Amino acid sequence: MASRLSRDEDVGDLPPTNVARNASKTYQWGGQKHGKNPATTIPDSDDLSDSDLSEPPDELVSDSSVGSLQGYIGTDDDDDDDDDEYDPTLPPRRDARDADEDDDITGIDDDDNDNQNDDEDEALDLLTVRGATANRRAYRRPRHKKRSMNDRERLLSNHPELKTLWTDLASQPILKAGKAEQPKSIKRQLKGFQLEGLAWMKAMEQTEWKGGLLGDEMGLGKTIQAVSLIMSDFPAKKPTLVLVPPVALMQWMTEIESYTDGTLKTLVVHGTNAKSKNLTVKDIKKYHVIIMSYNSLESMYRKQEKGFKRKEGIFKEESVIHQTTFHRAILDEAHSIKTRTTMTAKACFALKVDYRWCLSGTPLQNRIGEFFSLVRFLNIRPFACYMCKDCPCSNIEWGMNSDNRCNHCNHGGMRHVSVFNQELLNPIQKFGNSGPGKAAFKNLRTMTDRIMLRRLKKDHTNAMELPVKEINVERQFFGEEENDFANSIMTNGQRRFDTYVATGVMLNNYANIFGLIMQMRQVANHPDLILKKNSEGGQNVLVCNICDEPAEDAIRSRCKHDFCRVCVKTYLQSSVEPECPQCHIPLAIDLEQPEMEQDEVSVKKTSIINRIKMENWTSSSKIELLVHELHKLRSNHASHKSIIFSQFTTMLQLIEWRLRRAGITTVMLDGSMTPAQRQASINHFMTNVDVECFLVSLKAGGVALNLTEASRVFIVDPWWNPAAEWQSADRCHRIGQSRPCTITRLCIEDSVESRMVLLQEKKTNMINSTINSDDAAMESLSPEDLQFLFRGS
Amino acid sequence: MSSRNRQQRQIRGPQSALTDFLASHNISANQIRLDADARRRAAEADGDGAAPPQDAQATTASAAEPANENEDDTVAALPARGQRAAARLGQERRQKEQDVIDKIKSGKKKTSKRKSKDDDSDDDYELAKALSNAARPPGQSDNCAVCGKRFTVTAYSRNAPDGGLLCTPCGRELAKDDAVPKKKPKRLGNVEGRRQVQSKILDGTYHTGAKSLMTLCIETLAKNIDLADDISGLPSLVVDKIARKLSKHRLLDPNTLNLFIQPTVDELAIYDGAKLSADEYIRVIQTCPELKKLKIFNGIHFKDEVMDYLLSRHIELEDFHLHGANLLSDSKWQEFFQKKGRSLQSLKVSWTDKHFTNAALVVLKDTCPSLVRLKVMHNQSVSGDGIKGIARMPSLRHVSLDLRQTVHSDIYVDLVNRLSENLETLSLTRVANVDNTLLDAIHNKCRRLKKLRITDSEIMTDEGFYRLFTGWTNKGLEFVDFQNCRQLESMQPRLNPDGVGLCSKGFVALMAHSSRSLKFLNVQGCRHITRQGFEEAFGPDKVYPELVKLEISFCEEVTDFIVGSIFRSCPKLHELNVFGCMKVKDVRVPRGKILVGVPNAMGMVIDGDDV
Ligand SMILES: [Zn+2]
Ligand SMILES: [Zn+2]
Ligand SMILES: [Zn+2]
Ligand SMILES: [Zn+2]
Repeated sequence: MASRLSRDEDVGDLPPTNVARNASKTYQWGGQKHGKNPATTIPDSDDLSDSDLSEPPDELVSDSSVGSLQGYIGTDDDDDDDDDEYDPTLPPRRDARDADEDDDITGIDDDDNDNQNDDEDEALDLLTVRGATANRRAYRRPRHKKRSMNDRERLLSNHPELKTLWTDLASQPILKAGKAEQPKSIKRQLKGFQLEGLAWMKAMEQTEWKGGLLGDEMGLGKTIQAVSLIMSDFPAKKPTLVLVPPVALMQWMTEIESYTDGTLKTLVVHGTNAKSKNLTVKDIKKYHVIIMSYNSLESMYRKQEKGFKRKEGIFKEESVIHQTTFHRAILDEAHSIKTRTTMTAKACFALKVDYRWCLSGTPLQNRIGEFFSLVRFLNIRPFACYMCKDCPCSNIEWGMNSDNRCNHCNHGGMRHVSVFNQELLNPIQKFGNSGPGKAAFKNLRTMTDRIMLRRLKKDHTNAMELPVKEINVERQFFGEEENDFANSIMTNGQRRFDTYVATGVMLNNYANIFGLIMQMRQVANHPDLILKKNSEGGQNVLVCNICDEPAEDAIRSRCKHDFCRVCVKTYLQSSVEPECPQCHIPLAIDLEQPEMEQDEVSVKKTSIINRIKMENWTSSSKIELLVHELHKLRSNHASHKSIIFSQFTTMLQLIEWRLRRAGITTVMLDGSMTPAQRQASINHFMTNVDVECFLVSLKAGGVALNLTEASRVFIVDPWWNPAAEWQSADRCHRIGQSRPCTITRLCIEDSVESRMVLLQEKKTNMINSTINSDDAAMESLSPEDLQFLFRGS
Repeated sequence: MSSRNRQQRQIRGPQSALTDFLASHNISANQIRLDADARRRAAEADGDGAAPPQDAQATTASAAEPANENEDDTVAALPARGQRAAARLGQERRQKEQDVIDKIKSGKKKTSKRKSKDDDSDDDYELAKALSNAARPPGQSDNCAVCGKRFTVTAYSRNAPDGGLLCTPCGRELAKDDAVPKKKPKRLGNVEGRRQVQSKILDGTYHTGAKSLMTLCIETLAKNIDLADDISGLPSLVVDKIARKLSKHRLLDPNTLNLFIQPTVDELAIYDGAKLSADEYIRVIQTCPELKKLKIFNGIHFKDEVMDYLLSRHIELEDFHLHGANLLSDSKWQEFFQKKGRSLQSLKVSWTDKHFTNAALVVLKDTCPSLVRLKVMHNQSVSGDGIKGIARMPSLRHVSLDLRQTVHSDIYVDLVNRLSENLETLSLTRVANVDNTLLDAIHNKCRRLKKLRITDSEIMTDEGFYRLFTGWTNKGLEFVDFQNCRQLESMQPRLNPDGVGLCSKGFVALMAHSSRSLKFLNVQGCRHITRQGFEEAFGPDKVYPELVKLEISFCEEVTDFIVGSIFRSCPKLHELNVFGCMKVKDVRVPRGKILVGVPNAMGMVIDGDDV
């Protein structure tokens, strides 16, 4: 039976021990326990008994239960992670999906107002995966124990090093490097544990691995440690490459700047940066640090490997980054390459680099399979290798020719095994935390101890000097009219759910069921999220970003924000260096341009605000609950800044507009923004005391935001995944914060939300290992759980 | 004067989309509407004197509004009028409206001239601006002053030359006639103005009329604080205001702190210590040997070393308020009480993580004989044992607790029984599991109580509150906060068979008991107080002469009529909060009063246009 980690950080404590410490800063009230999960548990199979979808383990279990075991170690919605051994003949990965996944990781959500569609698509996607797996399983021949014994022997005889793999590794001492000196070129005083981290990183570069994984929990300052590392051998002969999610591009730039006082010559490679056009290797070598996003690297690599279409045919273009040899590569939020078959991951593997580093606050966040990818990037041999059973062939790359034969030894692809899968992944999947699984966990720990440094916040609270954090749930009820509408949605959902159950087709209708749940969640936010999905019936008028009224004589700025001509004219006159009131980059607008056409189609693509009739508009209990909380924060001797999270971009748009109408100044981080716009918005929030609220969608804001000016977090709609909520708190509860922090979850008690909250509690141990992916967490819901959501019993 | 037409039900507005949607799910929109109508009729039937609906849709917002529109002006809640009613209104209204518009126009001209010199004093304009929003809300239906056709007023609707508004075609005609097509005067891009007004209302600092000279001075000083080098000559009240302003602007840092630390001060308030290090606190203690009152917010760097230094000095604090100092250890607290407890009269400790414990409170009992006021907030360590310690401090008159540990009712009952003789303030925040026994103990024992706060109880019942306030010999309370004392039930949220929480009976009893004295009342989220309950408490014969602030957010039965009644019954009322009261739609607010949180797009509707 499969097993799972209950939280990423538990890996640091393998095998299972209790990590409840008094230093925990999280607590709450009202019987809602969502604080730090005190006990590290690797549940035995009993804990999983309510997951009816799971199947009895058999020889092939390692890839047989994608759907039901979502979220357990090693299973993966990306279902071939654990497959190579058996089924290397899989068709090439769906590259179209790669892009989706990358979006998910990097936090780019399209300029799309209809999150529901996204979510539905994802649900469908998951469904497809499940179907595909089921099919594949159906025609796979059973494996015979005898043969696998033989194979094992052959493998060992050809690769004797495997016999002593773990004892050899265990005999290497765990690196203890002590504390480094405060680097003189770093302008900020490093905390003690950061100096230890720096010493460790320097020492790791001297080992055979030439790098490693800095897995400090979020908020412990991985960036400053990495920058200190860069400065430790400054100036290096070759530049350092830093890869980051797009959100973090400018942040890295500013942090490098401020830590080193501009000593490092830094280039941000991004489509919107003119300097990064037509780069040559020589140009690159002029810089000390190159920062780029995973997406940019992926697209360069894709052009090099797969080419791009032109009229005359397919063209390939060499990737200048891949032509350059770097001194050091640093992968920030390294779990961005968790799926090693994506172009993004491959683009990283293909880099020419002397020293390799991964930074990740959640190194083992979902599945051990994802860890493979990091091991692969770091070139940790022989664990990342594929080995041939029939000869000593051992390679870090999976190289098969068109006949599916190895490029090196010409044995069949099927005869090659991945050391990582064979030694770690498969036993854990197969046996959980017992027998061979337990041994594999121990081995995994042996490995992580030697390539990873991971510190937890709770062990360093005093050194970090973090303030108190409190988590609350604020509950209110629907108003009467909202209740009418919500009830109709819920009753209908219930009825359809009951039909599925009664006719025994529930399992085939997960996508529909997710859709129903989605509607129930949306209606708890505001009926408009459902009713104004499309433009019908609305007024379809562009709203001015200055006066928040329907734009009169509307014109649009270069950054694609709409204004009344008069408003923006006055605004431009009133300011020396006017910035866009919406996205805060310098405002560029042609005042003489013709009035915008306000046709339905163009308005439909814009904010939901353009689709509602302002004068008839009624708020919702949820929105009022938020406004009320913000109102209570007003004080004559303090300014409180808040971060507001929601799953739904449309909800954030409604909230922003309502808040602005109520006199609260806001900033919104939107998935479609350029790095410059993002950074400008972040700066605007951080430096302007009057800007109270930072609105950000769960997807766009999951990573890399450092908003220590804020001390309040509001989570507008409950998520499936409490871990994601903890992560959101880390946006403000991190080094540099000196005000007490409050995380407030808003919940409409008589909606599906309260049941979600209950379910979360019940399943905390089940769900919380997945940090970013809300849908994966949802996948782990059993039919009983779904029933509970619909019926409340 | 307004006759907004926003009373259409939410369900009616986006009818097609909703009906389609519901139809696609086999739900009848009509059924929902019929249900709602039936419920409304039932409500009207049992509220006597309510107007019969002249138009089913038009009256939904104000089911029980007075029938007569020209009713005494003191009834501030002028109901929303139906479309027909709006059409009936004649020249008189137009004239009034025009006056307001003219005022605004002239006001704005003035402002734009003034603005160049002085950004600070456009209160008039802001006021006018606020009035203009109230005066001519888009969305109402009106009849065109030229062609007489009915049309919907939008933000673009033009004024007719002699009052009234024009429909779009007539407006276009008129525009042609204008020699110079002037751009709409209504809003000259001064949105910042609008948002500022709203923001101030939210702050509770919105004032009609000009700001006082002192306010202006303080604001100017706060803005240019880097130019100031000595404020020691100013009265302490002013210094305090400057300190607050600075912190609000997050400008308090080691430099600006110097303005406040003078050797002679006996009172120091650091409202935002976020940027101060331990050294700064030590410097404060060093330079101000006379300190008696010390108040620090966000004092995370008030650490053991600072406390050590304090203990080594001859400072005898009487009043110590420390917020957010979670690095200060429990043993230092105990040492502090042992060495400096004798002079302490008031102690407020909040956001201390786990470093302010039961043990500290037990030490407190033996070391601080003159402690009168104790406030322990946002504390996750203190539990019943600590409270038992507090209960043995007969000097206490004010006790405020906000603890994260669950404490049994019996412990609080014991606390009340032991301290009741002197107790003036009892504030227990977020006590989900505390029951009626506490209310009964208060009823039986307390005679001097002025301030009572019990929030978030999920167990106390209406009967309990009723018993508390019926025949209680304590004189009237001044401050009452029972927010979110309510039934938390998600399956049958609208039923409350056991009368859990503060409901009508208890509410009416409370208002009767403390009618003369009540200044501040919070019953937010007490959602089972019925319309009848509110109407009885704020009936025509009721007056609450002292009530200044009233918080009734998320009491879903509150209607426009009730809001109007409240304004009438509470002559001193300054601010009324109605967040999440979805039945409040269109209320006229008397001059000088502020209504915050009307759930529509108008922002905070405020400050009556009613003279
Ligand atoms: Zn081979
Ligand atoms: Zn081979
Ligand atoms: Zn405008
Ligand atoms: Zn813009």
